[in-house]
Amino acid sequence: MTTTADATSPDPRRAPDSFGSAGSPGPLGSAAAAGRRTAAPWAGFCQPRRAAFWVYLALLVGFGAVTLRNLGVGAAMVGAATFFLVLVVWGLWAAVALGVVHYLDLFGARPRSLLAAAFGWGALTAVGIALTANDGVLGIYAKVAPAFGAAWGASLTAPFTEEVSKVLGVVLLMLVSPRVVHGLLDGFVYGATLGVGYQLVENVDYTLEGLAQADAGTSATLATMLLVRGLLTGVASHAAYAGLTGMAVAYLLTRQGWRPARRRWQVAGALFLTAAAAHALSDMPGILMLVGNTLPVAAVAYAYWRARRADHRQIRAVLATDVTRGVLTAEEVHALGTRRWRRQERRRVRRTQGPAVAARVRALQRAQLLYAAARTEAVTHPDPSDADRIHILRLGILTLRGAPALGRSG
Amino acid sequence: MDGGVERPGWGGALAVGVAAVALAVTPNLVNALIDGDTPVRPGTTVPVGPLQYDPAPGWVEDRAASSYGQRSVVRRGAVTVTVESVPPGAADQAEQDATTVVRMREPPAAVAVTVTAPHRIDPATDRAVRRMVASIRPRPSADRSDPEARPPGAWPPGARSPELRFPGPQHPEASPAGSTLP
Repeated sequence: MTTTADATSPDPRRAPDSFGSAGSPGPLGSAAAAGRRTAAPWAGFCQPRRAAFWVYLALLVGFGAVTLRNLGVGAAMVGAATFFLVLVVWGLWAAVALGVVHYLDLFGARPRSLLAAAFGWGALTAVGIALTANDGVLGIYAKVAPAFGAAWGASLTAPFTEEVSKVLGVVLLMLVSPRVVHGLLDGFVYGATLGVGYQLVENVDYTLEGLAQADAGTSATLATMLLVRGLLTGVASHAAYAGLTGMAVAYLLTRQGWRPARRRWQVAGALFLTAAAAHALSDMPGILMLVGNTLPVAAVAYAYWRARRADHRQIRAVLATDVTRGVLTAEEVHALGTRRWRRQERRRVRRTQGPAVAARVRALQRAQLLYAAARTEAVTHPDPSDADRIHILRLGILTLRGAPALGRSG
Repeated sequence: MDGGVERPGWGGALAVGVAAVALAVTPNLVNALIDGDTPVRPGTTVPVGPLQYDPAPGWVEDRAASSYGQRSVVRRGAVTVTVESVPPGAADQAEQDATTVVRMREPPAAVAVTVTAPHRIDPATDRAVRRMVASIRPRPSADRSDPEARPPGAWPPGARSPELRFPGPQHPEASPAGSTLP
């Protein structure tokens, strides 16, 4: 790959920072600011003009109260100090898990407010819905088939109630801000973020329950829970299931007009059922649980690999005219496909042209990702403001590469 | 902006809202409509933690209040007997709350038996409750032949059951509260 960043561009040491700072002067700062300014009004979560925003809030308040009340019961069992210790420990775990999800977010320049809303739905609303629904379903099992329900009730109930409660959040967020979903990885990232929130609360709840019942001390119980629910299953649990179901919703929405409706429902259904099956297996007794904790890793890895290729293919198609016009090179578009390829390119540049130019390549890659997102959004959800936004982002790329600006068309 | 972005989109949003509420409420409605009371048949054995017991025939098992394998609630008239597995560490606390606590050394286990009755317990009910308490034993898979494994004072055949402290005034013909079986 050849990258044409050279010494004629603005101060290369400032490039990454100035691009990432909305208030920075100069074309790079302007481009970044434009990317955010133009995105903010319709891409963020706070959109009072959209019904989905208010439905989200209503459900958050209603079912969030159920979740908080449940946590309150757990806190009362162990005391305030232990409760906050558990909260801090699992909060740190959630931060790491979110970091993993962020690392897997290859093409994202997504609003933090929407990610926070996804996390909030998972932590409060989805847990509240699932708690209420699970109580009802397990109550039915207890009356109709108590022995069967005790052995299999959890594995037959949770995959349906919990996965549906989570996927409804993904759907609602996509209704709040439809434009931010233009690829499968978008669905994966929002779903997985939501799943991390769900798992955080579930882990806290289970730990409180364990502490209240166990003979072992607080640290021993906490360490066991961290080992089992934090490390062994880790993000390959609710985050993985919700990532898959998020991809299912994204496939349904983003393939409209590209794929027949039947095909879209088949793929989305397969993704949802895979997540539900993995969840069911992980709740089953005995050896099946091990399979259930392995299946999500394999399923998510495969689905993620396919989604990354599909999204990258989509980006290549959308940016084809830009390659023709010299805004990006074909090698640059190729390198956007994975973090590793981008990193390899930066290392190559650092070796041959020094760290300053490598820093500019990093800024250039960020600008290209923003540009690719804007171009894709303009295709999947056309908007009159796209032309200005794309033009400013393109200017940023051309300035970083030291090339002359092109016209505003395209 | 295009029309799709400007539209509030009430249809889709309400559909998601209704689905969320329906998902949470429907199972509870169905659960409320199902009668959880089941008559206890002769020979019925109910697991409670690693132990089990024989509920008295003719009583009614309240499955809604029971939790299979952990808590069993049986009723006759206004008398309710709750047999609940308690963690070994919580047995002392349970001693204060329950009518009696049956402890098992091997496997290490304990169940709390709580009898609630708003009125005096007649002799027949008294005998039935004592038989239920006396029937508490390890589940077959957890059974041990070691007599030392049996809980103190209750389980070897012919031994006396633990003391029962029934709530409220007792029926004149019933054993006095806190008595042991004859």
